[in-house]
Amino acid sequence: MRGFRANYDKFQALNTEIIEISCNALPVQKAWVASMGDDDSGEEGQVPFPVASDFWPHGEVTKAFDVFNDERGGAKRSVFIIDGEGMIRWSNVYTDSIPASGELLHEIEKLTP
Amino acid sequence: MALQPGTQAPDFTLQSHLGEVKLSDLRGKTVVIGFHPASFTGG
Repeated sequence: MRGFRANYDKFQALNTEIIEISCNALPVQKAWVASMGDDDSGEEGQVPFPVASDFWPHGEVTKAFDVFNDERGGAKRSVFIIDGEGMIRWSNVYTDSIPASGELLHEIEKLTP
Repeated sequence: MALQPGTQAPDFTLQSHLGEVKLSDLRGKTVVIGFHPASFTGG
């Protein structure tokens, strides 16, 4: 998430938009986004891409992508890269790491003709 | 098992801190969708 924000201009340069999704209620998402400005990273607080709430019907979109964690009631940490035609071109579920922007940018570059 | 490459992404409309976001509005662009377990958990 912070990595996405730090590298947002690089994603934009590849004609790429970012959507973050969790099953938190929207007010929680908003509080979280606001808290991003309170850390000591020295970065601007505003998150420039949408941080979306899949709260109700609970996890509906998360379930549609088949990354709902039935035990925890939330999303599994995962990333999908979708091309301009709406086709999934790359996906990964992260169990003990977090998404690396560099890896994603590399995958996106491979899709670009 | 997460949806795999080669699958059409399910369209969705959700509310975000920047307002409504609809996947199919972004046709023509590459879209990175990141799911995360819960807010305030890092990452």
